[in-house]
Amino acid sequence: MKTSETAQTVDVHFTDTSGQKMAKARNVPGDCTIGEAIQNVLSQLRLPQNDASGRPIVYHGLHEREGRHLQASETVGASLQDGDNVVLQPNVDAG
Amino acid sequence: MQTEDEYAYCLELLRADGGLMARAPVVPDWQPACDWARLVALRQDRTGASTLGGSIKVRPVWDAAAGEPYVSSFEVAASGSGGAGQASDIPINYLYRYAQRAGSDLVDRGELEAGDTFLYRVLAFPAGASPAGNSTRPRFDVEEVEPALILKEGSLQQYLERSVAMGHVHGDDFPVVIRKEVVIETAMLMRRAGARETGGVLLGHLRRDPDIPEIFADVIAQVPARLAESSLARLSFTGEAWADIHAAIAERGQGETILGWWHTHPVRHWRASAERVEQEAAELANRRGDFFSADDCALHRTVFPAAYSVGMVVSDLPTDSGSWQINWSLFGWRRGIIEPRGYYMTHERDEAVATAGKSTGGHNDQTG
Repeated sequence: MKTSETAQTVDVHFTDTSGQKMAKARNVPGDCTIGEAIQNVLSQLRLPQNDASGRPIVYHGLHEREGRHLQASETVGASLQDGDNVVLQPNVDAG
Repeated sequence: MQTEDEYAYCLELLRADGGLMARAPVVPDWQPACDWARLVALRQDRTGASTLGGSIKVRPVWDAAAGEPYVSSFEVAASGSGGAGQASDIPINYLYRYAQRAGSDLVDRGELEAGDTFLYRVLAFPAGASPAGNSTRPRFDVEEVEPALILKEGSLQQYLERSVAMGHVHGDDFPVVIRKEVVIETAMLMRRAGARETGGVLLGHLRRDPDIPEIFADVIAQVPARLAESSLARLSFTGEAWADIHAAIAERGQGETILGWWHTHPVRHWRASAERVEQEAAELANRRGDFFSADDCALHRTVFPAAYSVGMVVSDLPTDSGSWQINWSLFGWRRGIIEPRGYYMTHERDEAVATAGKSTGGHNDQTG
């Protein structure tokens, strides 16, 4: 298994909040930021990126193994290991 | 799951007299329609499949009178194993919200008066090759994985025998059974929240009745969104709120599936506050509570895209005598569109409706 500090790439799983959408991200560069990685996964999973008013939806990444929210500016190499799961959690409003 | 769609689409916006006002290209979000087709195939499957694999193909159905390129509906078919090959008919109002947006653009440009009626038609053309060039290539590969449905066996008949139908149960809809305790808990939490909205998620199991065959949802619990930020007419599910919900589900340790969500519309407080609060609440005060707002539809699409997901609205309903009772409305996906729908509530028939309140069909703000 590649370790987080030394890996040039990692393989990571992403799931949406309800567990209804899943994706495998392969060979994610260690210098890729969490924000960039999430943006790419959102497109592939066809998850909405704007709310009903057209405003961008902010998605947080919950690092399941560590039980914390990842910062968008963190790098994948410094935060994630092979096989980690990141849960995508949007800020969304009900009216 | 891959979506195959070989067409490009546009809308024609027409005046009430039929005169053409504008054409607007649209890129439909086919995900809800594809998920619907996938669920339809699995519901009819007799092999015990919990996932389909394969791809979903979308194609326009030409209008019988106007002919190609005018579209009357869409056909969405799942390929792969199980009940694959069965096509679902997706109605033209799947694109209603795109037409709404295009109409708003005309209003903004002064080409249409706000409130004016307009008509729309959908056109489809064979899509050309994708334009090369400016798109940035992702730095890594992402492969979507179709999660297998976790299906437990159950006799639908046995569930229905100890349930009462709430609202109109549409023939297309897959059955949803909700335990009465869940319904009662939402009412208690609504009362406790007072003049603020509150909500949470619905948990349970998807069950397969192999004898019919049919898949149905068994909603057995709710988990409140304790950290959601709430106000009179808004409930914000933040990252912290979702994390807290996930922690609560993990603590239950029951292996339940998230089947949907619920939230409240405290109409009696909207009305009481109408004269002293913001415009939004003042407008809401004149409404019944049993609706899914544009925000509710967007949240449902964002967080609960699977075709089996439901959203419950718990609202105050004025009675003829001037008092209030609590009303429960359920919404869910039907042919890729969020629609009001019926459900079954467990426990004795004579007790349920009379003491708990009322259930109505409701409506959403996205399909009119």
